[in-house]
Amino acid sequence: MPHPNDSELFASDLEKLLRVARIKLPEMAEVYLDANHKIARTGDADTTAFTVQSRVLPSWRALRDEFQRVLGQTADNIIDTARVLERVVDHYARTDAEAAAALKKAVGDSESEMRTPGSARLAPSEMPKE
Amino acid sequence: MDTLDGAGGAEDDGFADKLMSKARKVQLAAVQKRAEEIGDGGTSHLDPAEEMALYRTQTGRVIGGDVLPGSRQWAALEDWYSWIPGIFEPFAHLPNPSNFSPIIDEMKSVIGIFGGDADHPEANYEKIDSVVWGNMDSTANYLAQWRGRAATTFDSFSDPFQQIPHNHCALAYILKQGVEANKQIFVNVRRDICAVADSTVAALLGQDFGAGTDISYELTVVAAVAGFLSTVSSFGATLPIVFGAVAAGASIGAARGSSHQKKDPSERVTGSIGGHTADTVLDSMIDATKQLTKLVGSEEDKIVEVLDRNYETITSPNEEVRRQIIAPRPRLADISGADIDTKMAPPTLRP
Repeated sequence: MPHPNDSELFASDLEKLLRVARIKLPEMAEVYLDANHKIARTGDADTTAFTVQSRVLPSWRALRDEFQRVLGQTADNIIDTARVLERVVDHYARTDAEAAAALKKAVGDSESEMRTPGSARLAPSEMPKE
Repeated sequence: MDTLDGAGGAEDDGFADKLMSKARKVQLAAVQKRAEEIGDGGTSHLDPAEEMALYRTQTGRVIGGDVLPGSRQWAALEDWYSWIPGIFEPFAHLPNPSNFSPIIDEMKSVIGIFGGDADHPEANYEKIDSVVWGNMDSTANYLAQWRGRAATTFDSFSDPFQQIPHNHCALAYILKQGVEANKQIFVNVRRDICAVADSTVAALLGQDFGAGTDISYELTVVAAVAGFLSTVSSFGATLPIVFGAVAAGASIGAARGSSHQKKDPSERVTGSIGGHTADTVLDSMIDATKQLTKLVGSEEDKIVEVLDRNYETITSPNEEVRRQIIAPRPRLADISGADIDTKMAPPTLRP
């Protein structure tokens, strides 16, 4: 087995980082986005269920909204981290043409797995309340 | 009990019609009973206002013989007791319990997203760990090989993820349990108000003159909340999440960490309708509806207290507590292109 040269090692580092940016972190973000989406949907039903005069509803809503804010902020932190990592990969790939070519091939081979970190953003209606 | 009046907004499931039908039966039974009491051979004297309504006189005596259905006096008695349906009216607008189900289903889904199981909350730590922490752990392990401050401080963001999915599951569980408990209040109070109406009719029609009758029924609403909020699930949560302390009658402080405390939900409370005359029976009916309204309020207050205490917990200014519900934003998320070389350097030297 030929010993990998520095460019190959470097490309391997970048590819691993890109997999974190495009697979690991987006998978995590998706958990929080899905949960956020489902929590947001309870807003459609809560007034009908509790009725507007409910003494429980204000407290339930306050806890629900804070939980949703936590979920949204966590998703944002993860997505922003993933986007920065992608920029880091781009930045270093531009410094080594051979590594960049190896990285491009690796990305092409696993295109179906890779996601764009910013593709799974919160819809405006699901944004946590400030 | 604010929820018992007003627009309701609930999908019509026929409960209002059913209850108001029972209310009219109470009214009819009251008329029938009172007609027996004041007719020929009856034991009661007329209330002056009642006499005025029936006979347009104020002699204090029955002057019309038997009060028979279809007579003007019978109609006057129906009018005299026309307030009875109004006593039941607020209960007819109770929230429809089935309208809580979509919220409960969504909260169960949220628990599932984090790897928990709402029906078996204490057996899923491993799955909760794998769903989020698995990815975060491998991410952190890889980033630990990189150099620069943004990479080396990433663990302050990643480490809390060992616990926070458990805490998120626990919060989703509390929100679900709060809704389920509130739903159960309305299931039970519907049952109880029907029991009040049925018992009143039975007490009015089932007694002999002057003998008196006492009809007892179980007040199920008092068990509604305890059955849900005292079913404690920890999900391995590290936050001091409050579950059933209030519902279980224990102090909240004492309940912290008592992750498997359960209340005996077999506690039974009964109400009763009784009296020697139509009016005393109706007085006990009014007392029963007031008691029911009060109990609904006190049961709802238990839910409110649990929810409020959990809100206080997750909005705590204590940084250590906050880190268990939301990881601090990583430096890495905010580095600019110009900072990459100094804050995020690859593990191997570039060629």
